[in-house]
Amino acid sequence: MKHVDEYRDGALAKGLARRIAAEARPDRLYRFMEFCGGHTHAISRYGVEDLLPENIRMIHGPGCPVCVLPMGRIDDAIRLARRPEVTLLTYADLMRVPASNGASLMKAKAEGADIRMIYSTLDAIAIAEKEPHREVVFFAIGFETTTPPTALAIRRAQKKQLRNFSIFCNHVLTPAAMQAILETNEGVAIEGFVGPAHVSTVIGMAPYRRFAVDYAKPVVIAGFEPLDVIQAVLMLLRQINEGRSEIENQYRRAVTESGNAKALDEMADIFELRESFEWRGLGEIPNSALRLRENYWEFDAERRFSIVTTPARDNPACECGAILRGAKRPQDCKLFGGACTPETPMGSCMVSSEGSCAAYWAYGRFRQHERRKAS
Amino acid sequence: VLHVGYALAKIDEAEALETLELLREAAALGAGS
Repeated sequence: MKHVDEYRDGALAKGLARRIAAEARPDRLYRFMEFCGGHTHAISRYGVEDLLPENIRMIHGPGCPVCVLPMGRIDDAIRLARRPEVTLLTYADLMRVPASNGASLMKAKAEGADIRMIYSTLDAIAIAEKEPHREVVFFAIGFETTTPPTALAIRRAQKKQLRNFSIFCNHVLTPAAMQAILETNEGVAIEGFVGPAHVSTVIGMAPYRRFAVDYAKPVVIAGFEPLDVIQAVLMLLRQINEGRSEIENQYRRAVTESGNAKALDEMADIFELRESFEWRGLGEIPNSALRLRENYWEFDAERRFSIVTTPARDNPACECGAILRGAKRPQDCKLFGGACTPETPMGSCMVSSEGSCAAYWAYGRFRQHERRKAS
Repeated sequence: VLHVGYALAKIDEAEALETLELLREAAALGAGS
């Protein structure tokens, strides 16, 4: 496929890796976080870490929307779906995320709740139109990439005067989480970020400036193909070696300085900031999530169904929280690969394909790390 | 660039070619190191 295959060229990857090895100073350690689960997936799938010198470490960030959704919100969605009048619509990767007491949306569906998987918010509008006797609720999750489609669904529902459509809004914001990671007192030393690809097509480059200015951390926005990631690592390495902290754009073929103006306008018109929102693994983060503005409250499922979230405790043996903060790796969790596999996930990081644990498991990277440690 | 059924951005052909050229140059430098 054009604009994809070229960025998976093995010979080029090896050449870039040699360049990185030549420029990496042997007397120091470099720690870079790829925020986005799409990058984590690419790194695991293509073995990017195996091409990097030992003193360049990739720390896997919390940029997987399914993974960071706190269990209490899944509990809310299950309670909502069990109401006889409600049809709950969701993207597929939420179906198997563990909720409290071993529940999940998949199990609730098996028990009779009307829960359906959709591929697009357009499907949600079509279902609400087709079934006017049902209360159709879209379980809206995701970063700035999935927020514009939700905004467009609200816009369309308003235009069509759909009174039986609402959203359970769980949209979250990338820069707020990056800031929380930098301010966490857990001492995860991160010297630079591989910045999100798709998120940045929407928000552009400006929201990352504060990390360069206030925290002296370089950010290189990168595409999702392996050569994109490797080039971003080289760009970060050069910034560190030259004492620079700037926002650079490796993914220039899709990301512009100002982002997608239409999408940003729609989001700003329909959503506003929540004062605070809980993230799995990161806790409460101020100004990190969105809710519907007053003009659109008629589409707010939280208001329509008086949803009040009760915080829920994760399985104490599950290390998803520490993994999402970059403090631990999947293989550091005692459950990983034993009690917790993609078939029997104990934590959210093993469910979504963008989760670190699922990526490590799917591509067997943990075995290579074990072998490297043993040798 | 498509995401959940929507187009988020259009790939800029000229920028894509320039990025590939930069990648090839960096890789060529690597071959000489």
